Amino acid sequence: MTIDINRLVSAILHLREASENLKSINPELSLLLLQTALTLASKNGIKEDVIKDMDDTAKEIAGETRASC
Amino acid sequence: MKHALHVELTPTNACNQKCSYCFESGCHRDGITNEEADRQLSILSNTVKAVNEGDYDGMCLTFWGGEPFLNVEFMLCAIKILESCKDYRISIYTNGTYRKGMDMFLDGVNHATMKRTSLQFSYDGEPHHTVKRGYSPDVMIEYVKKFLDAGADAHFKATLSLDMIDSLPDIWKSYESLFMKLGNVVSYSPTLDTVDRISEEDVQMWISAMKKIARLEFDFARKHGRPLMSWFGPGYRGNCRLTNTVNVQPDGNIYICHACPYMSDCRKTLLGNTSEIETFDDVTIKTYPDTMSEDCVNCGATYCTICHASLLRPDEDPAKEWLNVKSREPLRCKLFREFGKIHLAFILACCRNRAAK
Repeated sequence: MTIDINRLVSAILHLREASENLKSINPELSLLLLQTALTLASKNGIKEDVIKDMDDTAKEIAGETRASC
Repeated sequence: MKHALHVELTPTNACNQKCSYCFESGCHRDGITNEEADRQLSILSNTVKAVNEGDYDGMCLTFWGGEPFLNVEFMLCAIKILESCKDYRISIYTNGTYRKGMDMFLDGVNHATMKRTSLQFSYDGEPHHTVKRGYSPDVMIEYVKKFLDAGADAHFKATLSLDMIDSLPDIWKSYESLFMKLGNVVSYSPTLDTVDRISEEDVQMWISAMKKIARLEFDFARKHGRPLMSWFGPGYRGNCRLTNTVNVQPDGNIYICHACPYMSDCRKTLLGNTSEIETFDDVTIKTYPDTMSEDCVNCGATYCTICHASLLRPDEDPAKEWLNVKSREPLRCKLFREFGKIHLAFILACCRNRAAK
């Protein structure tokens, strides 16, 4: 099976994000999502810096406006 | 229409403008002879009859050029024939500056057909448009309004030259102004089809410019619910539809798509000539190849318009190799791949913004 790396990294970031948002509401599901994100990353050899790079870009795009949302 | 026959006619290869980057500038600028026009209209008539009796849901007729409105008489004759088809749509590629032709079209086409007509106006955004095309967009904008009022659909297509990438934020802002004037019909949809040589430096400049645009798009999407630049939308990877489609040139040659006649070796994409056929469907390719090169499957691009026709080698059969062609332009691919990263980060930023709300 072939994998689109950009989409995979995006999916991992979404899983992490969802995990973070659910921490206080549903800790079990939050942990499960985080584990899924980590498994996806490690099984596909995605390095931490690739994930960080996309995360940084997303923050850069949202800029100052994110804080005011 | 789910299953339509697509016929693209070229009323003329002549143009009333001289855009500096036009990829047709080295080609013949001939019009169509009366004899050839009659032949094409007769084939169109046979094609409509065949479509009405066959499995197609209807026909999509596109007018390509040159500037098609320079030969509006041919367009009106073709539309008269098309109106007897069980279902039909019309598309027109135009620079929107030839008043006489557009006025004749507006007077000569009834409202029901106008509602099935979609025009693509060429507008690069400023300063690109004035610098590269050399004319003001005022007439074009005036006629966009006229066609919208008449019931037609209108949208815009821009060309983006890499040597003006620094101006991208200004270009984007001029499109934003147009959006404020004309509303939801306005999207910025640039193509990079005139890019020949790309350096690693260009790629870095591209990344920086696209990040700036992503920030502008983030604010725009929050205000208007959708991005202004179509690339930031749902994503698109592909090019010509290949199946059930023909591009007919004024000399009678029929190609897979309108990009093919301008290629140095276009023999492989030549489907036939009007002198040899009864209907346009006689020469269409019926099966779309379901393979794709591993390079493309693994590519992170979310938007790509690299032309498959231009990637074919002379010995390759388009019907078999259309999607299986390998890019021979790694830096051009990189532009789209790098945009893919920014696009996904943009989507991520929008999702976070929504979640925060």
